[in-house]
Amino acid sequence: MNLSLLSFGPEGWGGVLLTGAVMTLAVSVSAFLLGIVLGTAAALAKLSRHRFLRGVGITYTTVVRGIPELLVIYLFFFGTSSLIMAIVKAVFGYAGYIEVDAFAVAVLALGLISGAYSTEVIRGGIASVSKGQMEAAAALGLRRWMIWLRILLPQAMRYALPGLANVWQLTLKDTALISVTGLAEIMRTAFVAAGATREPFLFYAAAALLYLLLTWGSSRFFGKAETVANRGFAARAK
Amino acid sequence: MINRFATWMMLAATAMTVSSPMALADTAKVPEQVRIGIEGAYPPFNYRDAAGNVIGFDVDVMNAICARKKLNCTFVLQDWDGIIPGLLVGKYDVIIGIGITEERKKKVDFTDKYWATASRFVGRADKNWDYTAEGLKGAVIGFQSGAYQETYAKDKFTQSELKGYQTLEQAYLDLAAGRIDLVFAAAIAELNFLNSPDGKGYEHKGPDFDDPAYFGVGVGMAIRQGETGVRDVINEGIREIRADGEYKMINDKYFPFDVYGK
Amino acid sequence: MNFELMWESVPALLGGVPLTLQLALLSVALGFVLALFILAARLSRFAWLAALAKAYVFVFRGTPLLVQIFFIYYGLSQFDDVRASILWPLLRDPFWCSTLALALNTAAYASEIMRGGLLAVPPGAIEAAKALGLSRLKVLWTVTMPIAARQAIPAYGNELILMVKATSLASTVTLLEVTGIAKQIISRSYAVFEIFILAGAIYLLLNLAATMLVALAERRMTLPAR
Repeated sequence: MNLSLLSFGPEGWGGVLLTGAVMTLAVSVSAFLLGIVLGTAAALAKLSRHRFLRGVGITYTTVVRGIPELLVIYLFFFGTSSLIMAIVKAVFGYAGYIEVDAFAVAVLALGLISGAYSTEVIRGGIASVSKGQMEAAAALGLRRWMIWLRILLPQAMRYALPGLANVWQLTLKDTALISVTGLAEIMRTAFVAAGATREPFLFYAAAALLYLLLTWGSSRFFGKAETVANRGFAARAK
Repeated sequence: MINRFATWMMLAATAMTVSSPMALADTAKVPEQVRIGIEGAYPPFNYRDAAGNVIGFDVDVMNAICARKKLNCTFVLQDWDGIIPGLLVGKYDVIIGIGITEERKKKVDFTDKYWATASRFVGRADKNWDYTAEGLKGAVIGFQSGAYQETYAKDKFTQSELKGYQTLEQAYLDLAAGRIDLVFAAAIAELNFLNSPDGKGYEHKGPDFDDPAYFGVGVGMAIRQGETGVRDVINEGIREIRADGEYKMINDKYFPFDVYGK
Repeated sequence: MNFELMWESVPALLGGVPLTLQLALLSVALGFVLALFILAARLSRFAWLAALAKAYVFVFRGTPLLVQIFFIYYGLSQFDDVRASILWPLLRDPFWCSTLALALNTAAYASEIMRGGLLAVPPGAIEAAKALGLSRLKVLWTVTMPIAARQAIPAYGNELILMVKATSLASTVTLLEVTGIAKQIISRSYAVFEIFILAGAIYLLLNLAATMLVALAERRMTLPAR
């Protein structure tokens, strides 16, 4: 094994591996945030009084959680531009090629997956907010959407935080699958380097270490966030 | 808290950037920007250096053509098993380094060839097979998924165990590990492995496989069907660099013999 | 959409289902056994043993499964010592490499799920059983385990579905399970959507079946309504 292959010099792959780590982080954060948006929407849909909306919410989480992430990514990778092209053609009559870059595909696909897992967590969070508060807010004359935005969601997010931390870890690790689209994140870089140098052990070990660093660092971050979010609640007996 | 949440949502929404559309309605016209789909894992034709750049014979040839024909070319990396679907859905406009076969002509058009090779086996120097369907009974043969060697092997080596790999490099790793007996690929590309330190103890095996029905008539570039504009320009480029010696210069940088073939 | 091609590809894709199920069931079973050992180590009185179990869970939950598979399949086989070892007949085979990676991975999650189940057993129930004069083993077998198992089943059901999906990664080390076959069909037909949508539907059906089985198990383990 030749450790100098991991150096940052011209012959070493250290530089691209670190750039890959930054890319992994960028994709994960964007996808996770998109997932929270989708998850919130789907959670509200599942709690809706309308049967149709509930159906949409249930279909989304069942289908996305039921098929392998790898397939979702492949479908997005080959499908996103075709889909947008078809829509653009139908609406504007423009028949050219539209390119959606690899990063956007990664964020869309992983965001969709992340969102399906966030849905249940956020729904649980919403369910934990006591009804009395909503009634109190309604009695104060707040409008429905104000109650959702100011009373319900902020508290729901606090209850959902531990679960969302899990979804984050899931999303972070799922980024490795994005490597099949050629986006130069950690796994892709390790894959290319392992092939070029025929040193798979070294580079997959390095990749594993980078992922461990990211998961460990972010779990500490979420631990802190939970402490902050629970300020003023700590005294309450569990 | 509320404001922060709103900002989060905005951030996620802006994360989904869709890049600008490209005009390509007229198929006889050459697009302003020509995107070249390339595997980047096929040394010495195309591969990556430690800085992550794509380099190799294919890249040099393409750059020479683009410079000469004033094309604005960019390279797009794509795994081989998805290289044709990627072209068809418009991820790029040209595939570089693809065998010109009848089967593929059903889906894409081709430029002229710019190099050619027979396909051969690589195996351990101390182990010999009879390289026929019967002789290879029980042999484990590796090749690249989506390559024409895959099609041939599936049709002809019906009594062997066949394994498709994402990249040829992985097939060599498994050859070295002893998981497979033979690698079946383009003979010239295999030289890269045979000449490396890891290739010690391995050699080319058996005959040249060059049945045009499977292996086509050389390696060229593929475009979507009917897009004659790009094809004609690239063909001119190939002819010109062949004629004035630039091709030979690039050739000699990588190979001690002429890879253009007959 | 080329429906004809989709229809023609159904038998070929279904041909991958047995391998997908073998990978999933075998790795879940092996992972379950391994998880018991990890859990025992985690709850052990020896600090170093508990630390070891914690480290194991940390590493396997903290890295992507794809990295683990590639590490085991390509990484380990790089060394002559590994290839000369008695484990080589197993590590040589992509099926066993994938099963091993999947099992090691799920064991980490399963041990935590079981630990969660144990922690949820009310201490009062155990004390009550002890007060009735039951032996330690009897308490474990008739009180602690059933309650813990009942608590852990929903999470374990999720893990089962995650494993069925995870088997698709075995296609990256040359195995021809459902995803591997799908890729093979695509490499000749280039019909990415048709085939991947079909493959996705197969996984969806498998997982719906798994969900129903878990729900059934859950119902059977729930005490009749008061």
